[in-house]
Amino acid sequence: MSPHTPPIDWELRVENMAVSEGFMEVHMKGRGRAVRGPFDDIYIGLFCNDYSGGTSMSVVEEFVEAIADLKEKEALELVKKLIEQKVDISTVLDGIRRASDIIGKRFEEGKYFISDLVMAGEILKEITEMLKPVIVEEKPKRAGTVVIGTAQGDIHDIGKNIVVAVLEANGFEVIDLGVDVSPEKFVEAIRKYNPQVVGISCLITEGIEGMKRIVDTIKAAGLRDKVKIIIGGGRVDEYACKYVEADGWTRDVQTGLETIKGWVGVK
Amino acid sequence: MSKREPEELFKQRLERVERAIMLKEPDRVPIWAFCCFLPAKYLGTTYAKIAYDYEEFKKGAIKFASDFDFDTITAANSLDTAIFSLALIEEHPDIAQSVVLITGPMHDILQDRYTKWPGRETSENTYPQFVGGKFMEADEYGKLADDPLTFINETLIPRVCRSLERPSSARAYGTLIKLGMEVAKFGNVTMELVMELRNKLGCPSFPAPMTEAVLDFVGDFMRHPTYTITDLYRVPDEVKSACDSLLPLATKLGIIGGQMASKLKEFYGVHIIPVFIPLHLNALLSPKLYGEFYWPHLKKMIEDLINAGFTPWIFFEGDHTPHLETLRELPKGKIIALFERLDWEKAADIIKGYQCIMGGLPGSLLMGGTPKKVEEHVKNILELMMPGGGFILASAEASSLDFKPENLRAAIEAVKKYGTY
Repeated sequence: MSPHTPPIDWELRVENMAVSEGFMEVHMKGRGRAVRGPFDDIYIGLFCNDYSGGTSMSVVEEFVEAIADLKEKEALELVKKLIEQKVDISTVLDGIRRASDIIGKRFEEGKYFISDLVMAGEILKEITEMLKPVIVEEKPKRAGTVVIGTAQGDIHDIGKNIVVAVLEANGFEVIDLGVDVSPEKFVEAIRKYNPQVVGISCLITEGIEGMKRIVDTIKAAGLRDKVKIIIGGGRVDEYACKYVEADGWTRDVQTGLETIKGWVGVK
Repeated sequence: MSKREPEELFKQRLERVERAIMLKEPDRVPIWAFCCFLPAKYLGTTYAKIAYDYEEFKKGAIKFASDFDFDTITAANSLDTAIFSLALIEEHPDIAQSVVLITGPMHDILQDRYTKWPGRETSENTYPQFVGGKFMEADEYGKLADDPLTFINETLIPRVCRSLERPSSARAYGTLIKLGMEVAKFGNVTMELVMELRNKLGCPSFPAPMTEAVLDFVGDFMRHPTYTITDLYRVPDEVKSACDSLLPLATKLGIIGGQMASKLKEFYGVHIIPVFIPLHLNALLSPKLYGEFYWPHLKKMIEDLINAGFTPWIFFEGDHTPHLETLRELPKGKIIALFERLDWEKAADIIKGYQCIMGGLPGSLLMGGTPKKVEEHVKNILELMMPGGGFILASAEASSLDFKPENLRAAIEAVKKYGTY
């Protein structure tokens, strides 16, 4: 049994769904055995905080699904629609976060691969671009701040770019220092932006040396206690993490995201 | 190490390696030093010196091979620019392979935007890197597919190489003359290195002509991997027909390279001619995309190379585990499969005894591990992979970084201790 299967035997289908004035009604029919005995049909009613027009709930759901299924055109059209309908920005951002969660889970389950993450990253980037003017206006609450860059000596940034897109999708403010970033630049950014987390990425093994120099320099600047440091990339592992003296390591975006969320206390 | 005549050592090591390639049991598991770049720090020099000073490179390779008991060594100080070779394959097949890799000085001459070098774009002690980039737009696939060589020679290369920006200029002509001179200089040093390794140290090396998978030609040299992947979603048919057009050329590059290398068999003293194919997009693609856009072309190329009498030596960069099954589609015992990261248990299940497997020594372990950990790791991997033969221990990345010498020594000792048949 998968963890998502309810531990009771039932069969339901949605008969009718209506949204009006902040209240959503769902009528479902079916039969089954619930914890307290058998039932024939069921009625659910709930208040929607996000209600802002006749179809917005389902548009958000469609939007989440389009991103998660990597349907680029659909997702971009839907985000346009959501902006036009002036749907609350936090609802849209939450949708993006949920979509990125689904993508991450599919990656963990072996259903998605890096190529899918690259495409997802591109879609998220496009959406974030489209939302930027709205976000500036509304200033939604941030999950935390992450300073990120590839280690000095390494200029490969495919992985880092995916991580940036996913972190932004999850409500983080991301200060992207780019590629081949010197230890001094990291220190400067920590002083300026006061992040909770520093992410260092590398593809080539030589990048591990660069990571070590960055951590050493952060230490020497007396900032090591102020930040958690995560290293990421195809060739990092626990040995590399120990050698670099980072707080965590990851080879994939989802593990990295979970680690960072754990550190800043976001569920 | 006992003091034996280099000739005797050479024979023993070569047989060890070649038997493993042919899926047979040698006297013990061979160790292949695969250096994309020599370990500058260990050699007490800088990456810039190794990249730009050929004598320093040669000296370094000899020192590395004499300090450690490798069975064969692949030492390079250059970066992959296979597209330059592909550009020449119809007009000048005999010299096409000469620019399949470029060194630091060649980069200075060409002013290419593909590569970044220590002491030039990056600091003296930085590993040289291939970055590639986006040098072609998605709407140009049609032109590429219609006439790939004209597109590569007349549109792509002038965009990539600053010195060749204006093809009919004195600057461009001079660039080509200088490049030719540099290629000759580097070729001589390579030959001297092969001779010295063989005659002084009894260490064999293999000639390694190169080609690439067609989608990697697109990803590495034309569109950048990120955009190549998004193209597979956005303009799949265009990508496919460009790959169809590139395939015969990429295969020809490997076959002609193999034929030229075969002429040097006696000089190298080897019986097997590997044709090196480093894969780049393999580990990024989902099995669905791999099966649709990557593997069919690659498989055809590998089969053609095998039929021409060569041994495709395929470097599966990244983690190739999701695509391991496809290797069963190839004829048995005809390739060398160099893996970087892998689910080794799965590999043992799926392709052990089917293809020669090379790899198993992670660079991070040689950097951050201890001799005891290294010994344990090598023991485990040998237990899993050595039975029946066909396994070569190598690190796909280790020799190019700041490894701990005692760890590398521990790995070699562990092979001697646990790797004897």
